[in-house]
Amino acid sequence: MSTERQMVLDTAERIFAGGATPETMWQQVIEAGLPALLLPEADGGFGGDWGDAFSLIRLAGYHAVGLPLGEAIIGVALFGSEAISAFDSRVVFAESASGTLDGGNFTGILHGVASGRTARLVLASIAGQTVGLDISGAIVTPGETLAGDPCDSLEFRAAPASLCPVPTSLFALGALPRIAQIAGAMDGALALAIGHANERQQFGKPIGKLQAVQQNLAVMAEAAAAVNCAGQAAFQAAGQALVSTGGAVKFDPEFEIAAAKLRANIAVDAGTAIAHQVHGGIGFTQDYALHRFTRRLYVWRAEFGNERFWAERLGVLTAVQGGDKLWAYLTARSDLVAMGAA
Amino acid sequence: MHMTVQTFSVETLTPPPDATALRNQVRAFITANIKRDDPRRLVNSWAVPDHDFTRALGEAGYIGMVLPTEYGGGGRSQTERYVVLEELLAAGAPVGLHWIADRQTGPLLLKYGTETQRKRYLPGIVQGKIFACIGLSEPGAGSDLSAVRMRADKVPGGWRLNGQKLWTTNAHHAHLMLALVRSERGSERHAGLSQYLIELATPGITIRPIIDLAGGHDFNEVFFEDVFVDEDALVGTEGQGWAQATAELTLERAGPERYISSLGVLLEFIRMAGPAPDAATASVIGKLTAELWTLRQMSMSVLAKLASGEDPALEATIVKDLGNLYEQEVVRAIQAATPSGFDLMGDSACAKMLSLLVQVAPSFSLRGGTREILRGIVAKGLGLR
Ligand SMILES: Cc1cc2nc3c(=O)[nH]c(=O)nc-3n(C[C@H](O)[C@H](O)[C@H](O)COP(=O)(O)OP(=O)(O)OC[C@H]3O[C@@H](n4cnc5c(N)ncnc54)[C@H](O)[C@@H]3O)c2cc1C
Repeated sequence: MSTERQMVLDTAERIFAGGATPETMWQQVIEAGLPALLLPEADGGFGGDWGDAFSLIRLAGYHAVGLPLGEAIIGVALFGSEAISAFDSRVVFAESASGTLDGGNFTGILHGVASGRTARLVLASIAGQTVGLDISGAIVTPGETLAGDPCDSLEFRAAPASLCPVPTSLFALGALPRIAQIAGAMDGALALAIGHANERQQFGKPIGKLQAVQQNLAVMAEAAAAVNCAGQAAFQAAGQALVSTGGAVKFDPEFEIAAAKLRANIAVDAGTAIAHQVHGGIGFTQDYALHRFTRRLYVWRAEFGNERFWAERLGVLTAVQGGDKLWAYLTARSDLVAMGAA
Repeated sequence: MHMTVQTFSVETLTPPPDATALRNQVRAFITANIKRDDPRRLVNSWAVPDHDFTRALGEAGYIGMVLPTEYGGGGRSQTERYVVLEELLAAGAPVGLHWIADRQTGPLLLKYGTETQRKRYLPGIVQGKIFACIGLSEPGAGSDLSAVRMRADKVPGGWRLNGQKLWTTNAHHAHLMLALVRSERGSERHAGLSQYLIELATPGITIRPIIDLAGGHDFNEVFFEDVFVDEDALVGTEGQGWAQATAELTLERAGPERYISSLGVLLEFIRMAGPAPDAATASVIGKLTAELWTLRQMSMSVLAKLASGEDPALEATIVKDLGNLYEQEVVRAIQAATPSGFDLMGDSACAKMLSLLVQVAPSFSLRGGTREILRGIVAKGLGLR
């Protein structure tokens, strides 16, 4: 990573650790230009790659930050500097939509829009098409996730919807940031658990010296390791998709995103259960920071595809290849992605 | 700033420039040389011996690929070797005979061996004619390897060996054993251990089979009674056996064989399910595929670290533990998901593979270091003790 990009991470770290309210922090993130991570420097971005995008979004998760940074980064990557000038980089995704598209106009409600109230452009999948809607014409019903992060509904009446070609389903693109957020939050919770295990004394020694505790934390660390690795690879596949599109879709990263989101969802089990178990009573309090991670992990593992959704979807994608071709399929795809990244 | 907690530093493997061509060559080789008469030989295939296959593989240049050409090696890159290994394992190729020599004995000789040892053994290893086994475990030394008691006493011109090794996979086929032996009288724990490369045809060595619970003969017990070996049998530095064996263990744990052992039955299950499985079956396939894909990424990341000269001991340990869990989970999940009426004793390829795997899967998290020992290493890496 270039020093320029390392500086982006340092800036981000300061903002995420700063503890501002969600709205203020979102403002800071945008002023720092973080959503433009993937844009070339000539276009006002940082020239980052998709591995950097993973690192940056993971870092937000590591600090239990629930802002839609990933959606904004992907949105700006898709729309270029126009997303910055016209929409202040405030691009978000709707998890689901109900309503109709009539002559290019949308009437209906978008659900599950993270920070919809402060966003400017929302992408939604309506009748099998991905469209963009200017939020200024929407009626916002504010809501929040169980972790307390803003997650709103947006109602539109005959609002002009512009078609947005994306290299995979919008739902899969929406799952992508969640993988990185889960990876970060798993490591954040792990850091707390390790710190606690080394400090908390029982039976005359730190509980981290007890083998049962050690073995559990190893299991958690391995789950976190798996998500981090899967997440990196899924982001690289998504990058390959955007590189190879150039208008026409050639590489759909749904397979990699499906596998990584599913792996992440599953990892949350071990991650949250062990983190809480190791902490004992203190981890169950509002004052202690652990719930900032674990409650977000419970949310993120369900958003943009829970275990059932991605297991069935990936099962179908795999069965279509069949037992004879699966291995060749896996290797051809990873070789292509790695060559693209090299 | 605590960006530090990330147990697994992810590194992207850059495949060799001719990866596609190389894969196609290996696939063609496998198609031409593999026997498909018994589906059971296509799973856990790095425990399956096949003299014809190994000889042909050596002739084709797929053994000792990264060893220098001056010892007959291929002089190829780590990534090329990785591509070949994963192709062999994914196809269920019978690579048991030469696996240990290729994976650890050869590289260890290159690193610690004398010129004489390298010249004497490496060319044969590369040709698929010299096989090796691992002499670590003993009756009193399992997880606690430092309890090794087999002894080497210095005598004129060499060493005299006495003791016993246990669970020695491949000893009945192998020409060589790389053994961890106590070379200093009265020494304890990690001190006073040395590694010896022992020709198994030497007088005084007795190899007795141990039949496993499925009726297979893979491992053995090996007895040493006043076995004389010359000075050349010592590998590396006298007394440094522990450090050398630890380096060997990274090689032993780092490879793709630690997650691929059950792949054959997953592929067979997917074939059986057809292109449009019901939701429950799709879900099982999806979960097993997600983990397969993830482990492959992790395994490639370990290799990328190895290839760039770093020591991925911790990452390799993590991948082995997750990989062994996965190899076992594949078996459990598929047996649980087979349709009613599925006969485990039936003739289908899936049944044949499954009936073997359900029996041998418990060994996956024992061989090469138990689950508990691996997790202890990970915990240490986390800074807990
Ligand atoms: C199929 C197979 C092939 C093998 N091939 C070889 C070979 O080629 N060469 C070779 O040298 N060895 C070989 N082994 C031996 C293998 O390395 C040992 O079985 C393994 O290291 C465990 O040792 P053990 O069997 O003595 O069990 P033990 O060490 O007695 O362990 C029994 C149980 O106690 C647990 N335990 C032990 N110590 C601890 C601890 N400190 N903390 C927590 N739990 C602990 C273990 O995890 C395990 O669950 C093979 C084993 C198998 C099953």
